[in-house]
Amino acid sequence: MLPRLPNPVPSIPVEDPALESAVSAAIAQSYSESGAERYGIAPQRFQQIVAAVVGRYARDASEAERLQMVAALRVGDLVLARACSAGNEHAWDVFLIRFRALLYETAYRIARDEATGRELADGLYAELYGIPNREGRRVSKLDYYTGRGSLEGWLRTVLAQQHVNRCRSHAKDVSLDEQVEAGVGFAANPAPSVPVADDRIAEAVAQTLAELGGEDRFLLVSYYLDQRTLANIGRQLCVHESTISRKLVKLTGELRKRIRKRLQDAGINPRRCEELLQELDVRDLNVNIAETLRQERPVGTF
Amino acid sequence: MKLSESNPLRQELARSQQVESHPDSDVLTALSEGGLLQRERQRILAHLAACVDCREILSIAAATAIDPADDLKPFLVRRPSRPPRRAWLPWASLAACLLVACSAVLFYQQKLALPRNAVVATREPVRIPLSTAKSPARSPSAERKETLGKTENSAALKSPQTPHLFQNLTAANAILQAPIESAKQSEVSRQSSYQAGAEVGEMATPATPVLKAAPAQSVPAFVNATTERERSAASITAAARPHWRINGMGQPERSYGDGVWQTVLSHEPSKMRVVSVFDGEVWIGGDHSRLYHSIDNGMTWNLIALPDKNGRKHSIAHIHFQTSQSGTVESDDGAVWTTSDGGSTWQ
Repeated sequence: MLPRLPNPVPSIPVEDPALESAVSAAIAQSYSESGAERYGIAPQRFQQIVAAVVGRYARDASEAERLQMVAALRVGDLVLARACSAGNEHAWDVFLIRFRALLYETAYRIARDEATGRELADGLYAELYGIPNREGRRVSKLDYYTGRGSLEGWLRTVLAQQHVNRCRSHAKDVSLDEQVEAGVGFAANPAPSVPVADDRIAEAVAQTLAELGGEDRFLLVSYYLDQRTLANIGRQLCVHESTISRKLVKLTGELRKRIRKRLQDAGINPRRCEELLQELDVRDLNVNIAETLRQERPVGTF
Repeated sequence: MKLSESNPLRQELARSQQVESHPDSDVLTALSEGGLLQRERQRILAHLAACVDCREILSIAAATAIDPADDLKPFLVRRPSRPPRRAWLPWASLAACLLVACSAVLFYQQKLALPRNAVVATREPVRIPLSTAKSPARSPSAERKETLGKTENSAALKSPQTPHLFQNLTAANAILQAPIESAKQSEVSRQSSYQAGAEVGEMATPATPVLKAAPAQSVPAFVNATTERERSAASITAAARPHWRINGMGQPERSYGDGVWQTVLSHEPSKMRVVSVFDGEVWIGGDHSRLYHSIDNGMTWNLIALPDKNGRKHSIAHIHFQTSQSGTVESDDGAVWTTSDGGSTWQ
């Protein structure tokens, strides 16, 4: 059994306590649904916790959006996380029953290695329990959970984040032998960028891509640049993979149409536009998309 | 890891830096669970389009998520057939022995020209209904006494055969043979047995008309009626018992075992997530607290209005009925509704 934490760590500070009465009423209404009573969280404390989350993420939002956010909050998971970080034994029992097996199973899935997965899960588990800060006060990682998504999903995301950080930190420590074994020393030079036959096409592609919204750019980048599967992208966006497929087909078709229109506006006759677009193979278009969607300029050499 | 791949474009992306601060893990989770506000979602997606780090994390987290369809698999996948077991062997042996014995008895009966009335008289303990042939003036006990008296006096019991074994085997034979006869054959046998009954009447005393029609009218009619009813019920049940599944689009589908899946509730825009069949009643639940109920294998549907909980719509994840009256519906966020009156009211 986990020992009781010495001092409950205050959660996110209340930044905007003067919420609208409707939002306050909605928060008060969700108190009974959250099960906060079981963990000894009083209604006032619950109001503070939820108000802090709303104030943090919806400071400039309208009242309707705040109400929507309150309704979408996972208040049950939120009070459980706060109770765990406060050292409530019953909350920890519930947490262990609900999430301990899931935590380790997810870690195994991410690491694809039992030892690494266990190490990953143990590390996160220690952080969830709490690590003393400079002042000697135990700070639990659960304080960073705000109830926007499910606690289960949050644990998965945190595990994924730690796994990525771990891989990156370990990637710097690869020995020369391992690099030789991996063939790094014999790796081919980066392929030069594909020259585009007509600069006007590159310009049209760049302008067209610049007009895209965030979701469209994310879809293009994930599919063509990161080469994620449709199913994976669908899970990331909480939609079915067929929806992603339809969006991508529609998006690429729309891109071609816009590029053709830009070329025609640039004074190229329709027949030449078709020739240019035919020369611009889908793979070339993909490459152009990838290059245009780069997040930043390449890091220059010193 | 994508970073270990040799794609120069990805390496270049990995080297690049991000200006904007990264969103919280909780916000990434909410994005993948559809819990963000619209404008917040656009902002996060714009960040993700430019941030390979966050895309990597979100992709790994999404890849490790348990597919909701896994919960449906027990409902969707037909159970594999059991491996062949030998539990049927004793019963098959017993049935084979019984069949051989019955055949031998029949053969012996025909060969020795055993009086038919003896066989007929001993069929009464098989509990075959005799109401159609019984005389209303006679009580069953009197009939029984009279029948037994006739039987004891007949020459049949003077044969070396054991009477009880004979009667049991004959009755069993009648039951075994009756189900495989068609209605037409039963009519023919009824006529033939009626003739046999006439012979009985000639051979036995006039007081035996009770038993005249007994073997012919009651036995095949009773057995055939039951068998046909069961057969028709079984055929109707087999034909009308559909298989259910929910396709990847979240639409419920029904199949009658011919491999053709027909979409039901096609007008429903919400994504269905779970289908449950109990005692011939079909329950389908999905997003936005949509719960449908059908008592006629999906020909007609009733939309069940679940009481509002927590002021928002829920996604139904589990439907479980202990009996046809009492059941439980659970959503993926823990909301639970129960009914104890077959779904008329929910709490």
